Amino acid sequence: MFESIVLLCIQRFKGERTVSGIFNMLTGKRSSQTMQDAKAYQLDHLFGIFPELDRRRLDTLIDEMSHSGEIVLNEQSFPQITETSREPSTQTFPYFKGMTWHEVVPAFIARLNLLVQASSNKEAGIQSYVAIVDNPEAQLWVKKVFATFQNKLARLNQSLYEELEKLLSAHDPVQAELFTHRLTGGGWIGLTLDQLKEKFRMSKEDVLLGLRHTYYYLFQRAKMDQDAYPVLHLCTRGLQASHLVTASAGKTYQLIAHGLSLEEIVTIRRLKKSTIQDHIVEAALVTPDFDVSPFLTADQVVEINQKAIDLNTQRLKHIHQDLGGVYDYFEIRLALAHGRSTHIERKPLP
Amino acid sequence: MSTQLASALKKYFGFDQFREGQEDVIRDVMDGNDVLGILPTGTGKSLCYQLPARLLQGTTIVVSPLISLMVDQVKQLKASGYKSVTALNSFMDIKEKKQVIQNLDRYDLVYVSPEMLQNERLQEDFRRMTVPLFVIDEAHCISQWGHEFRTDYLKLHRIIDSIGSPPVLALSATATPEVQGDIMEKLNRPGMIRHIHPMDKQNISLSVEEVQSPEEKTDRIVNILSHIHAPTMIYFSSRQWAEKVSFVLREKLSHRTAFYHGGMEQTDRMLVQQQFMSGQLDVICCTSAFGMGVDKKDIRLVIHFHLPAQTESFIQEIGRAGRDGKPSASLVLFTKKDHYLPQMLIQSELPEREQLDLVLGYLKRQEGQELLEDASIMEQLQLSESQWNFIKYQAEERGVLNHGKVQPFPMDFESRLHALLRERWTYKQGKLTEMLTWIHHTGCRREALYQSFQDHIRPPYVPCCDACGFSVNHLTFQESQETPAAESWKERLQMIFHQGPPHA
Repeated sequence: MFESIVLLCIQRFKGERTVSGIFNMLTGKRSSQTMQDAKAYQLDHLFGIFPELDRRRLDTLIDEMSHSGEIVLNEQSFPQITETSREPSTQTFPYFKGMTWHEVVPAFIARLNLLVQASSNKEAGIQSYVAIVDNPEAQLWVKKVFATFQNKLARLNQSLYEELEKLLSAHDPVQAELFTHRLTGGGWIGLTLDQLKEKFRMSKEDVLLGLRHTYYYLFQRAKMDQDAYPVLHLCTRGLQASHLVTASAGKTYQLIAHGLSLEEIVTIRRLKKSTIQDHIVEAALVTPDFDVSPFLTADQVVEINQKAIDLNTQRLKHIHQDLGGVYDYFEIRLALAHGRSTHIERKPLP
Repeated sequence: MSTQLASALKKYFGFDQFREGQEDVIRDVMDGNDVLGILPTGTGKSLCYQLPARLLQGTTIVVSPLISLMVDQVKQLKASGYKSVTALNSFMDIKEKKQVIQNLDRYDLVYVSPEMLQNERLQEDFRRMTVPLFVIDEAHCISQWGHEFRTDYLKLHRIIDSIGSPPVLALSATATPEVQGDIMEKLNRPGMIRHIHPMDKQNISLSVEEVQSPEEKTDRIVNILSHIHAPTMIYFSSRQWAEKVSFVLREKLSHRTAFYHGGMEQTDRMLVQQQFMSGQLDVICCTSAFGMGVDKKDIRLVIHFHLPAQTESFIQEIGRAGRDGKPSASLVLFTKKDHYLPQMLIQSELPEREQLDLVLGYLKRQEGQELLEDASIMEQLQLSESQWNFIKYQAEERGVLNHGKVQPFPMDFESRLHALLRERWTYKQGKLTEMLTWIHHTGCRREALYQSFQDHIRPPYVPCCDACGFSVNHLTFQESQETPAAESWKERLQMIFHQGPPHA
């Protein structure tokens, strides 16, 4: 799974991004560059899905893949797929939606794990035990749930079991194994990563990703269908999709919304012009109705986007040159960002 | 009296009965006697003064060496509903401190550091109040033979006398008769009633075996465990070895084995601990990081793959075996080269003279400034965590570090620090020599191990030790119950939610 994911990143990046670009994508680095890449190269579903990724493991994998000829490193030593590369299978991880959910999935994991433990222990009559989750917010949350469902805890437990059983039955069987063996409750203690690795003869990366993917799956299914999965839905409550902008970009965005010009914002915020431009592009990426008119006309946006499609690249330099140097890099980035978030009509990718 | 005490115990702490040793100490304290109590960790030492403090009229003073320990205890007590407790320490801000001191007599229990107690004004306050009991926790700190020797402790007897000579209770987890005598002498209370909880375990057989190499140790463990199925702990002093041996054991034996050390991720550490507690693991390969708060009753065998640096640690570690009172055993495996490892451990714990000079020079240059955070200092000056802690602690104690800022050195700061360092080296080396001497001892190991802690060694009701004819080859523990493993995720889910066929 890890290999597939990395291969997909390489394929989508088209030899235009470094290994660091892949690393930042998977670990969810909050920089304008990474967030723009996520949109531009259609990797936003993988943004921030693997925060515990070890950089050395990624480097090793890239080395191995280039040794085996699976990928090549181009003249700038950016990884690139070859004609013989496998088509990366997205089938094993269709539920990742990192850009939208990666900020709240950890809270869901903490709640679910603790609720399973507390609920199943109660059912089994186990009163004194060490909480599997150390997070005070999750502990408070479970306490509240217990207080609310005082008399219906047995039913809650039964429902939680049935919901998990139902969802896991429709899930990848290996991932279902990982998930259930990681759980603690009813007198059974979950396995460590090391033990899961050994039991299922998988790499540590695949164990972590398999678990994470299952949580994404459960989270989204439960979030969408409260009637079918009432208890799991409870675990998702209050956890909202993120509209990802860095805090600083948020401030700039507010000033733009108040109608200030780029130059005025530069003066007020005492930041470099290029930084403010980064913020504007970032805001355009995540805000579908972002108003680009102070910077570009609608026709110009279409022209730039069409050029990117024709050239099949996201490389600003190529687009800039091919358009005869009429637009500066900021304008091109803004147009592409706006195009991504508003889905301007365009020819399908070849 | 005892029914009264028992009902107070129930009322204030919710326990039905005292643990071994507690009641005797408390009764003597309530009768107004001076008491020296040596109770091993995990036996509920602090209850010995917490209960009297609730029952006695006035404010009980507890001198405690570690601020973090004090703060923890106060937190715990408050959480359990005991509100009239506080800790006076140098980390409180002035306003907070003032408020506490103004209302001092409203508290049942006041924790204070020995350094703080030197304050004249505070002594004045205590003089005006009713102090029914003066407690010294971790009393071995008083003794120059105890392992945390602190000079301010030496002034305690004068303070006790100046606040009206209340009864004194001195408590410690480990103190040899030598240290015990020193405590009573330094406190100037020769008539203290001693309650010494015996250290020797009558249900543990002791043995030491010499081998030629670490590989041979591993082979020997495989060999032993192939005819023993029971909860087993194997102690290592290095993380790598703990992992390495656990892999070998997993490969060669059917025992469910895991490793545990401080370098693991937090959740995994807890999972391993819990698995062992609940009988889902048979063998645990661990460093001394394992154990805090682990109270597993049925550990049958404790093996030391590496030697601890002192007998006190060793006694504590083998004491994890057989808490249920049933026959258990300890085995130490050693090679001729094994003294290097604890030697290196001591080196990594204490700074060398040159390092100390380097740090002192650095601190001098930083005078008047905020100190960097620990990690960057350790990196910049190439210090291990405990080396830096040693110096930092002393600097804080002497006011050289105040709220993270470096202050001018008191005159004798450097010379005293050097003296202290020399003393710690000598002490630790001495402790290691003691451990090594025991390893090479040819007479009865039980006597040799415990003789410095207690006058009389009780006869064991298991085979005594290798010198007396015991060998781990004679052990035949077959108690581990193979817990059924889930065949599939569905079964695992059923087991957790108790939906399937029930398992005991």
